Amino acid sequence: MGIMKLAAIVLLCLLVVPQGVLAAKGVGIVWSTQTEAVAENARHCVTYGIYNPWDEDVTAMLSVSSALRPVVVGEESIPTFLPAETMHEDAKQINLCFYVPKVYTDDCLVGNFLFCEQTCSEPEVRYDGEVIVMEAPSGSGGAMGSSTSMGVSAPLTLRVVCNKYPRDYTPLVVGVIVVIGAGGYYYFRKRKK
Amino acid sequence: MDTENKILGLLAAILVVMIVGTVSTFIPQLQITGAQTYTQQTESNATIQYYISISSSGNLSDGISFGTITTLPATDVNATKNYNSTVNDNWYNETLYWIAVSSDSNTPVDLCVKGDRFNTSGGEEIDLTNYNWSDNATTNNYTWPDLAGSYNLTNESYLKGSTDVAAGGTNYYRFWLSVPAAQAAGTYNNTVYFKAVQAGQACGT
Repeated sequence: MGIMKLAAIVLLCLLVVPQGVLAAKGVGIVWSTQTEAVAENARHCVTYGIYNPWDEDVTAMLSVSSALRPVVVGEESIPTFLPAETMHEDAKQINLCFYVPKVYTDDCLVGNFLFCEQTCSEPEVRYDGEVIVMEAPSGSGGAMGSSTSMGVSAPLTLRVVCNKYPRDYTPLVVGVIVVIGAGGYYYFRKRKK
Repeated sequence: MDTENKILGLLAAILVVMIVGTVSTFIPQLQITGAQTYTQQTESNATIQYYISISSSGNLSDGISFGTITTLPATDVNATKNYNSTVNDNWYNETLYWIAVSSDSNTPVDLCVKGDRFNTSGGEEIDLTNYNWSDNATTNNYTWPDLAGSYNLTNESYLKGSTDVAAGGTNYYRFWLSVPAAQAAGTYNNTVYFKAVQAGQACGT
């Protein structure tokens, strides 16, 4: 009778336990930001956690979607080993860095470098994309079929901040000072002679 | 000589004024301001953190196989593990392809699928409109996931399947392949990508 009861309990457990727990290998991502304000001509880094709460070790790679690829710095797809049962509290921290080039055009009176001002009248430039943790592709699919790859993504928007500044007449002021100084110098040298 | 000194003095005065003016524009601290006021401030902050983890079944990790197809045309050939559960009798005729959402997640997810072109190393290709998948986040039995509700595999961007799958949940998949009569012989392969996004977010490319 005792054996029957035990068998019934085991059978009940098999029915009740979610099938998902049998899955063993996975990846996870931890994120604390979805929108970042970044400056032009500057490097900006965002930290992500990657983890594997499942019961098999896995090697995962951090990558970015195509919209963010032009501004990501360096090689982001470095394979990272994640031991089994790495919970989100113990996630491995990965620093993902971006370099945003100059995107807003200055209004200059001479060429694109003299007497410039920035009115920030252009629409805000944004890079909308996602950061993805992928497990390396596995399996061959056999004679006719597919290998598979899985990943988890976190949304990320980079808003490029525009800094307003008035027209810069410094070169003109410096030039006038130099001209007056030089003129005065030569005038008095000539007068002394 | 007296006139020269006056001109020299005037020029010197102009230079001093211009230099002081120029310098003061670069050093705001030199600018004269009104009475100074003091305020007290305290920083306040809060961080919202999300985390998601998924895993695939061993059979999905091993790849999706359609075996060797010897009769053409072939319509809706089942992937080998579509109905082949032999784990125990209770799972008979259930799919062995699934993605599970870890209970160590704190936000529900939407699940997305896309695939590369399905071709041979020689360049022969089976159009992805012949490669179908279906998913179901609640039921795994002989009927579900079903062919009638299936989608074509897409190449350009991910297609969203089940939505709002909670932590601890499982999403089940089946796959079918059709091969036209005139298809060249060969071994056709690709990679199928599965991606979880936070519920409500776009799947992306």
